[in-house]
Amino acid sequence: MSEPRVEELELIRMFSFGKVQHFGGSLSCIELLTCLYFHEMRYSAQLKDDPERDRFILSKGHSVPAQYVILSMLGIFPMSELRTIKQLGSRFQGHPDSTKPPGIEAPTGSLGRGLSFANGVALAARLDSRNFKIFVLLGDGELQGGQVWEAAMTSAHHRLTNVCVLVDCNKFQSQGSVQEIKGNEPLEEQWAAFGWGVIPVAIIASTVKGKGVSFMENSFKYHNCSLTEQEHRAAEREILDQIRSRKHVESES
Amino acid sequence: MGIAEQDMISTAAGLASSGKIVFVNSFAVFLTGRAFDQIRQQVSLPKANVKLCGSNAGITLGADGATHQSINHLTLMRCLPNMSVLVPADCPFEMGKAVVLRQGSRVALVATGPVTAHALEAADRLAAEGIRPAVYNFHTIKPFDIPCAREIACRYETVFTIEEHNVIGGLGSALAETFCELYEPGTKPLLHRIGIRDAYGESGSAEELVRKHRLDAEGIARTVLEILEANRQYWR
Repeated sequence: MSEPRVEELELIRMFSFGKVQHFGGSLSCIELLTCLYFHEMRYSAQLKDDPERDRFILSKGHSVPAQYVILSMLGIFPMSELRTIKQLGSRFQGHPDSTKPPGIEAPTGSLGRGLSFANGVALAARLDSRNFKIFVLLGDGELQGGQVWEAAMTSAHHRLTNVCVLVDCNKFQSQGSVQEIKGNEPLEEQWAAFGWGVIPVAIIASTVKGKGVSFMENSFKYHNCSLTEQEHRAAEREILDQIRSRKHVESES
Repeated sequence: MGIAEQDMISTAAGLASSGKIVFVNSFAVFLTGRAFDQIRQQVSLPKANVKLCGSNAGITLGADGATHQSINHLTLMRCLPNMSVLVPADCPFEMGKAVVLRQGSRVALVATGPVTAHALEAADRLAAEGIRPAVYNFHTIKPFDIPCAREIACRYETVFTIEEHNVIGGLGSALAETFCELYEPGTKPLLHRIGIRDAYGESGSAEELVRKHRLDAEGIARTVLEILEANRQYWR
């Protein structure tokens, strides 16, 4: 089980300063991933190849740094190897590559594809009489793309009870606010209109882009950028402070 | 899967990731065009066991017109790493191995798909003019039968590729690429690509369209004679 905010710290540490990374969207969803992998899913280093394991598909693939951190905390690969992310020869590609590190279930990166893929996995599970769950994380900007809704119709039409969607609703995309660029609220009604609610289930998570680092929060500027050495140090310091104060509170209670 | 090619391909990739062998079908134009990115990212990149079956390829679809006639499906699929590309015809089939349908000399007709039948008829017509072309069928566009392509380059002075496809990016291009990389002396035949000369299809009957694009036997034979005449001075 992870300590509070340690995963954010490792996320920041993974990105050395000067390198372009997807900070905002990785920070906004890492708590969701912690909750799924450590509290909800039937998944572990031992179960990663088990045919009955629960699956997680990161449809918003640019946030894969968050997933790498969580998989590493599960013991699937060493945390130190994450420093090689995006370098030539690294297992840790800039977007999920299912042929490279273990734990990546689907190739994503080109947005809007993950739910369709999850439906395929769910249909195969039905053919094989397997009961595992498939969790799919989408971004709110990602919902602007048509294929998401093709897939949503498929899930509802085939009543794929084992598929659960989570939407990381952090309100921003790379060029600005989601509602200003192509507004899609209210999301709950949208999903309900496509037959979601009871079966299958979509969870709209209200998150903060860049959560945990004050100068990154609620900004599209840090969607995909490089940090200066100063910014990098400041980010690490802020998260360390939060970890310390959380530990202090816990030790007092 | 409904009218949703993108959803279809990604769903197929999901099924394949769970160990299924998946066959998908749509019109060639929609399969390779609308779902190109899905094929690229979720089928060819991870080498997913998905068989893409594109029907109604080429202009012989006829009446539906340009929007439904695929003239660049080979171009799109051929340039994807890990992708094998096959064009069936009523010819013997062994994956990756081109077929010699007729022996000949000095001239070769290299065809893919149903137009191979027209190539054979064209060869009959040319025989009456004293020209005896060999006729080959390349059903496997990728992986390309390079040994056979090399043999064609060495054996014939003039080579014609014939395809119901844009002359850009299909069989003609594949053969040209192979010829370009042959460095032995005496291996540079003249290569002329017969096909859709970078134009869209249109509504019409299959016969009318094939005739218009000179992919019928008479059209092929006429093109061969014209090119041979224009290059007579270069004959060995």
